[in-house]
Amino acid sequence: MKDITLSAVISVHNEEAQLADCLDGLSFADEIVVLLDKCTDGSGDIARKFTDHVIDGAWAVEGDRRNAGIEACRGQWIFEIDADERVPEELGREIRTLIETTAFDWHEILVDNYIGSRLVRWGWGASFGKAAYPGLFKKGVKTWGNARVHPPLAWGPGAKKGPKLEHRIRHFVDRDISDMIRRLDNYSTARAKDLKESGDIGGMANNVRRIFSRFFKCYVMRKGYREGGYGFLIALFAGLYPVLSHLKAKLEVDG
Amino acid sequence: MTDTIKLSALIVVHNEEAQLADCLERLAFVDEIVVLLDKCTDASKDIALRYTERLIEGSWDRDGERRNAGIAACRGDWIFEIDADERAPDALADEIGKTIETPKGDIFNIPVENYVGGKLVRYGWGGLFGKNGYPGLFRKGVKAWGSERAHPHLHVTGRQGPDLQTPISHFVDENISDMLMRLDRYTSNRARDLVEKQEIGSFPNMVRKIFSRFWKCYVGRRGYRENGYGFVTALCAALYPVLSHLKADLELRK
Repeated sequence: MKDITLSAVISVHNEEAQLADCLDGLSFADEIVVLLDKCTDGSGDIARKFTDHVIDGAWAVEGDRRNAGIEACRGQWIFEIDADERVPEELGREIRTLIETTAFDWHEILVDNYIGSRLVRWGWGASFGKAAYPGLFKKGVKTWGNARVHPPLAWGPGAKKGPKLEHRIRHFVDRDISDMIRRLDNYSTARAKDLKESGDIGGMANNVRRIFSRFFKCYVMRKGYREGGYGFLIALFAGLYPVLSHLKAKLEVDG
Repeated sequence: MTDTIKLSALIVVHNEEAQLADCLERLAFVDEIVVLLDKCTDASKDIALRYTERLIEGSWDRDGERRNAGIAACRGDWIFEIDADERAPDALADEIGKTIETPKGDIFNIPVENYVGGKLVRYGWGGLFGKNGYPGLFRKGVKAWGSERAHPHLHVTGRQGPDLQTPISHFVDENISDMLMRLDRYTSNRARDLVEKQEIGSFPNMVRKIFSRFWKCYVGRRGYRENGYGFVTALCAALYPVLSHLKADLELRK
């Protein structure tokens, strides 16, 4: 068996439409680890065409399942990716080169987000999309926190952050505006459960203020205005995410 | 058929097996029930057959057209229009009976009480995201629907009578997720209407409408009294024009 320097890990919940295309771009890694979370579609069969390192199970919380995936990786380096992301060849090559030479423990990867077939580069942030993510790291330095949505990250003591990679991953985040609305709904439902569990759902006035501060952050600071209508919507939904989460927690989550 | 048919109830249905029986159960006060089944693939038809033989099955593109087809199929002098997620309480049935006995008009508005989940949400509806009342009782021939996909216009030719007093119960949404999904559906339909009319409006104007409509629902219609749900209904009403505009502009226009 050859040495495993680099593992690619992917957590999947019913992604038969996306998975093959994503895994197809991962041949630069020494092993692929696929974690199947409550999959009831063809995801498992697709995964097994690309790797025999497949973990089946059920996780209630996103942080837990991501940690389980990381745990199962045998490489010294781990590259984390989602089913709706694609690795261009240049990025694969850059990752291979970088882990040979880097003096650091983790690196961020820039993201090109697509809505439908349109590249939307500006305006992402405030929990409604990512412009970059810490997707390449040495085994043992990164742990996900225990939350349903946007779990916080914990870094091992002394873990050193290196420069961002130059090439970007492609993220097919939404097909259209309806998808964005559905994502806002899903995120805020999950977030409402986290809030309820934490015992502090916040106040209405503060969350209403955040509509404006987050809109400003995405639309102006992150230059969403340069993207026209989609930039407006990203900023709008980033703005609405806290107040909708708060209201769902207040009015609808039992407990 | 020996009895004359004075009052028809009309219900237009697309896959409503969860709601339909409960709705039809309360329509025993009418002389005939007409159920129009639009592209139903669930058990709606079986349920409808337990209550009436007057079924019309087919496939309609637009809400207005299917409602007009339903109205045309009614044989009563008067028509009571109801949706599957609405319930007619006994008191409303009584009032409808009395109203058409000595009618003071040709078409009557029925007030609506909207429920989100199990909770009555009285204030804050409007701006095309919810109704406080609708012209649901009318003489055959006086009301026709327009052909828009979203919120078709009404063409009314008769005399408007005084509003009925008893509200119908409308179980409009189960929760906030339902409201957001409804917003998504409405704006997709509205976007198609806008593109068809070649009049999608201007973005700055739609942004202004966010604030004016929010104000109208939350303050004008007193949504603030509803402690949370009033905020969400006002928000949905506010976002309806800009989302419709952007769907039309970014996704439909070629």
